[in-house]
Amino acid sequence: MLCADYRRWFSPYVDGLLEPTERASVEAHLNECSQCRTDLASLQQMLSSLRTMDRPATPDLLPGIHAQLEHQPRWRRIPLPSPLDVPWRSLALVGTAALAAILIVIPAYRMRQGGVKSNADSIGMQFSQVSSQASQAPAKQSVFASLPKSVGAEHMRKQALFQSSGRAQTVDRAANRSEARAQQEWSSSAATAVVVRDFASVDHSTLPGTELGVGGHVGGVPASEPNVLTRRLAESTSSSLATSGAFASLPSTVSESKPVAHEQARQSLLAQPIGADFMAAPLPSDELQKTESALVGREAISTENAPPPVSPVSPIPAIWKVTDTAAAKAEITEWVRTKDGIVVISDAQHLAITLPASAMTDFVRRFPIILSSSTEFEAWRINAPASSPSPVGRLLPTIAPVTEERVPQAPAPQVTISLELVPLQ
Amino acid sequence: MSNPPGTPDQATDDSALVERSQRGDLAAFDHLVLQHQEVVFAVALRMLGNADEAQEVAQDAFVRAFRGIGTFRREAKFSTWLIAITMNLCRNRRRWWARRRGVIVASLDDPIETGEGTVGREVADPAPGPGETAARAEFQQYLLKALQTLEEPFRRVIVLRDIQGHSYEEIAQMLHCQVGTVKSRINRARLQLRALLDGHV
Repeated sequence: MLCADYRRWFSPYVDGLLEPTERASVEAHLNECSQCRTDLASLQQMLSSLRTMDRPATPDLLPGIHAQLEHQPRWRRIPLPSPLDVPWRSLALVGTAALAAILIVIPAYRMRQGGVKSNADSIGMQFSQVSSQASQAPAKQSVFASLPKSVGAEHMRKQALFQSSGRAQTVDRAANRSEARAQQEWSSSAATAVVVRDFASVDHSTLPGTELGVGGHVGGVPASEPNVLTRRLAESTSSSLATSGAFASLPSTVSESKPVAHEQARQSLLAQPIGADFMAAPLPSDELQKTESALVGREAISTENAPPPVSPVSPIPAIWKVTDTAAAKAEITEWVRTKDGIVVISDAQHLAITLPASAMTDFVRRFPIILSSSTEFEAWRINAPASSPSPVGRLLPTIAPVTEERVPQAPAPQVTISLELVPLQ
Repeated sequence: MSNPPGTPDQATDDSALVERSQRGDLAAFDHLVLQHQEVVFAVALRMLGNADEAQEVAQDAFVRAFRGIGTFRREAKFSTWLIAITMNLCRNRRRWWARRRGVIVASLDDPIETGEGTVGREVADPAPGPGETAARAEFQQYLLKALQTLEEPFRRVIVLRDIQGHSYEEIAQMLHCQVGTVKSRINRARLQLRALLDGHV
């Protein structure tokens, strides 16, 4: 090695960074080379001078620092947390959980509403406006009218429970609805499920002779709400059962309108909590007795896992034999309008009439219509004034008497009639 | 005299003070300033060769340290982080000069400020005679002047290693480079500086 090569090692040599063999090699060379010894001594002297340089007198920096910091905007005077100190993982977990909740809850909520909506649509009715008639006597769903007495008693007991739970049960339901609405949504569905289960036990124990096919039918009904109560009348046949799924699409169908006490009937119908206050009015036992005979069939009960209700509204089928359908249509439309009702003209011979339940009596007095299903009308009549006549006509075999009842979500202040105008030949 | 930073006690003190400063405790940060201002000012002065400039840069370094203390990772020593900030500010100041003057003209014959003479010196040599003291002060001025003529990377390593006495690893942290780079730079810087001082050392 040349002296120049050794001199490159002087710097690490003085810092003690050479390997032992390198160090030995340098020291061996220094013993031999006086020039390199001088060179190294010069370096060491320079380094010594640098290390022993006098410390400069340090001015007080604090005043200047404070002056600069005070001229900062306030937010700059507060040290920000290090990005490394922020618990990004925890935040990410929380964010993911929140996102998951949103993604699950919103579709679930929509599904809940959407299920009702699609059912309402399937009825084929256009509820553009149904005025609230909450102060009127609530229309009773036929399902309760047709219950056996024992079931009615059980139902009354549960009703008392519901009333004690503070849900909207007063006559003026409209006043209470808005505040009770939210809690009804969930609490009532759970509560109604109990009733449904009781119905089921009654169904099997006290109503012999029911057909197994009904159970199969019920299983096929899409319903996910736990409080869906489907019912079939005894006179229905298995073939008519098959049509019950498409029940709503029949031109003349049986319906009792869904309880709606809201300005915008359709909206409220879609959002109506199920089982809200349908048990508001006590069920007169004599009426129960009367309708017990009408109930030859059974209630088919959905399970708690059943799909959502197909229809919250079942129109009452009726026919009216007229000479001039157009004139009859005009007459009915005019009359219904005076009663704050709605007439939807489906086609030349079919009308969908939505009436306040209180006007139903006048309606059947005013027009010689024939109700094609006594059961539906009986159901209505229970809630109607006692003085109302019973214009039950003959049953038309052409109209499927089979209806599928839901446990109503709230008492119906409206009644829907599906009226067929039959021209007299 | 070199001021080797970071005795274990001081590191512990720094850690607590830094933590308090990170929570916005200005008094704790004042303590940090008092503990480190000497080193920061010394580094700035030797990098810049001007006491006023060095004071401005040192103050600026502390202000920036306070603003950014939230981003300080406590894996490194606070002094290391502080000197890294100071080094960057010194380089920016030099660049600003270069833009203003077009080129840095530094000569060993130019007068240069050392910041000395105002307050007491390190009592390095016991009882030096008046002539000896004068010669020593003259030599140190010359040394600092020579330092200013070195290229920035070389001046940095000389200041950090041979004046401030930092280890190679610390220097690598401060300058954000590899230890091998530090080694080679120190070697070349010393050779350059010795060539500049030839005849004086």
